[in-house]
Amino acid sequence: MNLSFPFELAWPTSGYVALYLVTLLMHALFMSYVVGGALAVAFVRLHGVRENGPVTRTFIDWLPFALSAAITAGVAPLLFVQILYQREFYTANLLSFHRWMSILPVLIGAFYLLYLLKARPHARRLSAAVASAVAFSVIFVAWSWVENHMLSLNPDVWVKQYESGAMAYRDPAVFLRLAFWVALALPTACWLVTLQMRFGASGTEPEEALFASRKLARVALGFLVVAAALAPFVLRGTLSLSPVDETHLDGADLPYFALAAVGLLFTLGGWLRLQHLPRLSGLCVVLGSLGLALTWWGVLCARELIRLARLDLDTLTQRHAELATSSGLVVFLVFAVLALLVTAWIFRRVARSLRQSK
Amino acid sequence: MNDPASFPVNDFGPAMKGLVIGGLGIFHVFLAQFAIGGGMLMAYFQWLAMHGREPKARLVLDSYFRWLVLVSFVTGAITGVAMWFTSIQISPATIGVMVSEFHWIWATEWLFFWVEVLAGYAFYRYGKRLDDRTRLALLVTYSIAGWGSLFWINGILSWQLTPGEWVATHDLWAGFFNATFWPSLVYRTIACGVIAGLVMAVIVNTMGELDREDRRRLVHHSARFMLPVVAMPLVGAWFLGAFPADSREWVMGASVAMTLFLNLTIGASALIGGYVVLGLWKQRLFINGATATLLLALAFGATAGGEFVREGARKPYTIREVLYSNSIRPEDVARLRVEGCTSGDPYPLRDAATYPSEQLVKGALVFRNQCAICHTMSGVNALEHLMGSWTIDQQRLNVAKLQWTKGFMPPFAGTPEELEALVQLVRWESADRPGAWEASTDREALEQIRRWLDEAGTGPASAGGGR
Ligand code: HEM
Repeated sequence: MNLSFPFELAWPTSGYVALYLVTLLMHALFMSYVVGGALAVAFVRLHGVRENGPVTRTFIDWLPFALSAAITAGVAPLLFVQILYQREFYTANLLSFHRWMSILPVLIGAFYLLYLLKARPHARRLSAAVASAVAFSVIFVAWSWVENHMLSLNPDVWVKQYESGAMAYRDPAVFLRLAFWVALALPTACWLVTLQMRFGASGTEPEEALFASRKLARVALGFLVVAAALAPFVLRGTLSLSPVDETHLDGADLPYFALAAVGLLFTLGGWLRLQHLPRLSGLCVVLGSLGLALTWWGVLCARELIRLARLDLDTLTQRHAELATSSGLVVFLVFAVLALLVTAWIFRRVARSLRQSK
Repeated sequence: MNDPASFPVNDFGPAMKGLVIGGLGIFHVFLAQFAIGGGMLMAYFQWLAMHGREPKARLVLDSYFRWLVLVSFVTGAITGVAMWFTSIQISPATIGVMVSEFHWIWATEWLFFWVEVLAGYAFYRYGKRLDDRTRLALLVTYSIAGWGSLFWINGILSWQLTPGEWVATHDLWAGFFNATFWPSLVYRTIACGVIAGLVMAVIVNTMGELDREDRRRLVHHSARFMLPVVAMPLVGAWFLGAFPADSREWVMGASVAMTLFLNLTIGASALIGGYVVLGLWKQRLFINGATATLLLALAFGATAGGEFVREGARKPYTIREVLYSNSIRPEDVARLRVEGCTSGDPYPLRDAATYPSEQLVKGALVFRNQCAICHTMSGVNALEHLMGSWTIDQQRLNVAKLQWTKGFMPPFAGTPEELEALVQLVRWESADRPGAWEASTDREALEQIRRWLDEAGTGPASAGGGR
């Protein structure tokens, strides 16, 4: 069975994978905003910066929504991952038990802390503690997802893991993989907040936006380089207890790494151009955003092919074919189009009303 | 698809697994119904504001919506995710079948959830700066999306109790629009409105900007919104009437706990309904914060009772005629009586060393795979308390004829040796886990168990034939 996605992967597996990836991409963007934003605010606060610059101000203002959106967007891939890899995903959940379930109270706590931060943005000590607690919480949640993913891919250890009663999966590569996602999240958050500032979010003035964006560019470029360096061997699990079998993979991930690299170049282009312009131009916005989207798409596709290469593809595709006999797809597609239209309509209607109120 | 023993089983200590998922479910349902009803109530208040029928409607609306976001968007959304995660922990096989059968419905529900969150946040963030028509449009969109997500999930949940024709045809729509779909949807929709209205009565009492007359008027508007509560008894009866006969028997007397919970729901709903209709609407009474909170607590009690009954009435199934509560499929019982329910379980006991014999280890595996979903050994609904004092023959007979012992239990799905191991385990636990325990190898007893198992048959009690 050939692994290459989307063209040679069997239908309906490729269809489910595509939906999983599109929705995971949405989750990843919001998740990055939350991780990057929480880290940035905590960093600024712990360094005793009193005034809220435009970046901190925008993050504090938008983080509660971003967390909500990350969770809402996370529900869809949560559904598709259960369709695609039911046995693996459930088993990993069950093996981590309380440790896995603890992400829920942690998320509730993080949510309320974010609202507290927003309500008291100037209380320095309080907001330093709150921002650090939020950053810690979201990193904990990210770590849990990473661990769950890696455990789900290593059936050889399941019985031992259960027997030991250990709730954490001790694979040396877990932290490296977590570092990779954080390294990718930070430049993503930097870009998203730059876009927000460009459009005047949270009362940002154009000069403020340009100045802050140029500073962010340095952070973003630094972390992009780190993420690029880590990507191939972190995703292939080279240092993990369950590295992918290269013969199964047969280089199927390479085109997607190449796509991610092209995206990276675009993003770099966007950031660099920004340094020399009097304002954030449309071209800059397009370059950076397109670059980011391509990078994430490449990374997520490569991640998926690497997972598929680890599993018994024949059994999987057969199972997916059985599942695909269930009806309801047409209803889903019709409502997907409607939901897109309603989403666009909400944006337009609100923007128009806001313009009129000005 | 999923072998009963193919997933690791977790031990919830003294808590019954059903209580864990049930407790969370009640909390989530209550918050979700608040979110849905709250949206509709806000749309109504916006309409009142736009038509000059209530001068304080706009003020109260913005305050209410903040509560809705802080409570329902945050905790409601995460308890929703928690329901997924807990369902996986409690019964991966059940949620697995549900996802496999209804994934497109679930995906559609997610689309509605997405729109709900988007419209809700847009209102929360910009509501005060928007023109009236946009405000109304957002609130109506939010309400439709919220109610829509109830519509979709209701089809899946009611299918668990009354899958009807779907069992034979696997026609998704026959399963979705099943016998309890409509009564359940109408019932829940009314509940959404009542919860939202009662929350309004609490919130107006927290707002210093309102005087007593304002509050009375605002609560009266909410009472009008809650009026469909008068239909609750009829809808409840319609709902019960659509239950499968055996499930209806449980809640109408055959199971004391379920009957009690049903009565709690009826009693609490009657009190709330009476107060709303006669007091708040007809007599336009003023209601203070304490009374409003008490009514809301009563509504929580009613929701809890209702959800308990709905969950309990499915027994012995999690999906009627498809999957027993312990994740064993009806068609697998006969096979497991020959092959055993422990032989395919790859996960060893963590505390195997604490059992003095292999037979007891086997008994513990049987307990884990067949009983632990509803029982603990010595905590809530404990086997030790339920059967520890029986004679050994009574224990063997009642487990062998489990579905006849109580119709809300599934048939025993293991070999006579496994059944004997379970009986020995219960006796050993009841004897306070002594350091030594002689293995029981009585061939005659095993023969007798086999005969009892055969007499009981492999079908559930509802299939008839045991009396
Ligand atoms: C702030 C909160 C969260 C953070 C920081 C976060 C972070 C992450 C990360 C880093 C991954 C990639 C794991 C890997 O491949 O190693 C991931 C995957 C994923 N996340 Fe999140 N996540 C968050 C909340 C959630 C929530 C609440 C949900 C569900 C509603 C969710 C759903 C998913 C899903 C389905 C995947 C893919 C899992 C897989 O394919 O194995 N996430 N998340």
